[in-house]
Amino acid sequence: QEHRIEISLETAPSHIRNIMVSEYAEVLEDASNGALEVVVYHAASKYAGSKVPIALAQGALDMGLPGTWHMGSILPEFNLPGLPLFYGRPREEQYAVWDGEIGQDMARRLEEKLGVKVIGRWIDLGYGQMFFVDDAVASHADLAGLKLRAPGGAANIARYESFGATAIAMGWGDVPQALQRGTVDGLLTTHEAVRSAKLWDSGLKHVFDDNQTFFQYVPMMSKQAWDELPEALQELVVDTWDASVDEYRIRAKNAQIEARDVNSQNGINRIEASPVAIEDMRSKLMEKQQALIADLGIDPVVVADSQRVLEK
Amino acid sequence: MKKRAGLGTVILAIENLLLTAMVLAALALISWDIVIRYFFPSKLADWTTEVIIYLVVSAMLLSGWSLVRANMHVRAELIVERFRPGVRHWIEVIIVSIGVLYCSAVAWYGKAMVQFAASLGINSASSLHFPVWVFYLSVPVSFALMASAYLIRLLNLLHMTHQGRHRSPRASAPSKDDAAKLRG
Amino acid sequence: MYGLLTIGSFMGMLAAGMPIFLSLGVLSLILIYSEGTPLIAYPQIFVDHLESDTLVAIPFFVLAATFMQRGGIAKALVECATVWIGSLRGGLALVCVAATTIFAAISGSSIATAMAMGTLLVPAMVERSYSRPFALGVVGASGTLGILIPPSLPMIVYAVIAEESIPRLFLAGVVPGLLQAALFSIWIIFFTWRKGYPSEERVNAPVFISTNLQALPALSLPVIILGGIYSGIVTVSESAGLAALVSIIVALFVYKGCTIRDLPEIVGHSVRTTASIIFIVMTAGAFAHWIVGSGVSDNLVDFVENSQLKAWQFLLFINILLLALGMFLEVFAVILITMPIVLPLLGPLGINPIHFAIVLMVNMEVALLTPPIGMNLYVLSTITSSRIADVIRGVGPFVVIMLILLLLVTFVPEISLFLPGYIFG
Ligand code: NA
Ligand code: NA
Repeated sequence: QEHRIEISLETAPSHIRNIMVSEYAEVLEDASNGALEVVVYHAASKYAGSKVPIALAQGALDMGLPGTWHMGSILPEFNLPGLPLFYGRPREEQYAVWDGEIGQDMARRLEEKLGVKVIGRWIDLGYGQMFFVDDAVASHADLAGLKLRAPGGAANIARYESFGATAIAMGWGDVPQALQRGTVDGLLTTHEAVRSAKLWDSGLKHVFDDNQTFFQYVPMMSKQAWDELPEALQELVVDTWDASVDEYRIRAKNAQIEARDVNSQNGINRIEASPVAIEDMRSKLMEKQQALIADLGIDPVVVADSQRVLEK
Repeated sequence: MKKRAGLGTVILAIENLLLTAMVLAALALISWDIVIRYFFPSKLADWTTEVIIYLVVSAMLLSGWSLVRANMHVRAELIVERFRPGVRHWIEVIIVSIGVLYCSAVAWYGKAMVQFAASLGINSASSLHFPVWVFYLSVPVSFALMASAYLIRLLNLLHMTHQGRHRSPRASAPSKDDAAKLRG
Repeated sequence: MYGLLTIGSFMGMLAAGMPIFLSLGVLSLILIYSEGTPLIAYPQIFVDHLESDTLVAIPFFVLAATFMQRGGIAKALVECATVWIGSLRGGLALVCVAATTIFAAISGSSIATAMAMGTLLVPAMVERSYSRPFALGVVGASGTLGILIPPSLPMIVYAVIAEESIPRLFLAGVVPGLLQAALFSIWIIFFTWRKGYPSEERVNAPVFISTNLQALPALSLPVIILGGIYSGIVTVSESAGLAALVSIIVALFVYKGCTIRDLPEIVGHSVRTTASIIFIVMTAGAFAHWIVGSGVSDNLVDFVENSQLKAWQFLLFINILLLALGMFLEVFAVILITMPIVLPLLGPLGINPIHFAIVLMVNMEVALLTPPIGMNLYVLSTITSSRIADVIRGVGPFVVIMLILLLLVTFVPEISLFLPGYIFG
């Protein structure tokens, strides 16, 4: 093998992203006829997710797939997916923005700032939903007064404020006990994360599916690793990725649906928000958007462009 | 000698005050968080955990150099203590020189890391938008201080060699008195 | 060859008496440089490791213990325990095991547990003319319970990698943890009886009552902290802060063993004590970072996959491997390096991942006590200014007991699985 690409992932080997990336690594190795060796490190054994962008920028790591939410502190535009504008949007509308000119523009900005190479379209983790211990939340009104663990980020906190709920920050490791002991009433996460941590053992009983944020991963390489590859291999890396994205997305979606079923078999009762309720909530959330954009320093042009794409 | 001990005591007192201020501030933030979450959860701030980490971690990093001065960094002496004092002296000279080199290297690349983070303008994800390079700064500062403490020890060791005191049994164990001083 | 050279030069540096953080630091810097990583990433590995909300708990637990020691709280507790079971031989060592077991239910880290309990109990035992290595051994070995008795930080890391439920895992550690405490107690009773350790005189009723009353504020401390966690008012991460705060208040205003003027000196001392361990954890992290990419794990997979082991052979092999890795690597490093490889092999062999987690934890407890890299050895050496050789000698018999426990836990899965099965079905 002439070239070695090391990929670092934060999630466990059995996580859908790891399974997919391991497959990508294999396909890529085979297609390169032995010119490439691709190694995948799991479970943050090399880098935690939030540290991946910097490791790529410093050239310490060859390739990573950090979540969009991991880049918000580096490039304000990556807070976009958390904005009210995107609240509860169906997949097709999300793809129209992130696969289109706006996603490409964000990738360009990221490449310029970090000196990395974004190698293609983003793949999905899935929608974040709200899970609860005691409260069978059936509408957004039921959220008032609840204490919910949230991943950090101003957009998440602002959304909780609009719900009348309180965002509580705590490490993932503290979550099971915090749920058991009532330190928090619930949390925002994906069905798949609840399944993998078996959070029903910690007392989760209800979920309110309102598809409130869509989590995606951005595939990228460090400039050093990218520049070292001859043009033919660069093309292979990009083409192999692009050829797999559509199938990845379908499988990620199915993984969430399967997780949802496992969760309900384990007693998590699901209530789905109606499209009308989601629309109403979005217009209410939109009142805060202007302030959020200013606070986060997001380029208003990108927001306006996104709005145009979404309204089409 | 007397005068230097005096200066050391003053530095230590100042360092103690600084560390105490940082740690007590972190403690106050933890207590604040617990009280607020229980009584007024809607007033909860999203940046306290982050600031607690900054305070506690930099306090620990900054105390590294007094560990060097007092030779309090953990070490295994069970083999080296069987050697003759003269040999131990030269081993110590080598170790302390490596300390100077290693700590200088980490300080140097730490400075590069700080500049890199500052040039990217990375801020923390909380509503505080804290510039992370300020926190990163504690690494080069800590290691630069440790490098200078190792350098002073190196000069002292060489001074001993010059005076021919390095073969005396006491010379190779300079740590105990200093360590006692730090423990107060 | 390359590996032998690495291990050889590392052992050489340690033997020369080079500080452990410096040995690990120099080694990791050279290794990371030689694999072609730009060195700007080296200090970045440090800050990445340090920026964690779990690490913060350690200095606060140490602060709590130091104030308990200096502020008269520890004295009240020890005296109280003495009037209860002091008339037994080795009573104080038994008190130490019991107190450490309780403390382990607050702390998720063995380093924090050993630091806090060592600060309190080693001086007390040495004062009562226990041999220093024995006193160090009792605390060093009991301190490892921090990661076996819930809450436990390594269990959380394992749960996330293995996709297991944290509450189940936590419950699985309870019985093995109590078993470990019981085995230690049996050994202590035997050892102190054979050595003819002194026992305290029985006291009369008025003294008994007044000693207990005197200890009430001190006894309320664990009650407040455990109560805080189990009522949900504080998270496990915050409990260390609460412990420190309550200890400072009780020391200053109830027992008045120290004054506000003493504060800077005591806090400064606690921070430096913790820092001497954190510098090792930090450089050990950089070393582990290199190991992950070094291909050690690839060879491991090949071996395990090709050798067609039966379940019991596999468990035995993994235990030996983990014990060996545990000599040189820190607990989290061992888990991160081996688990992604080992976990997929459990299912086909019919090994329950919860059972395996406990095997792993007991193994990691041993790793904390085995030289050359054994964090609890360093902790005890630091906080009591003892020679590492004394600590190693002291923990020796306890390591043997823990290896027996390891065999029991490995080949009798029910010890781990009974309680979670009973509660969760
Ligand atoms: Na524990
Ligand atoms: Na060890």
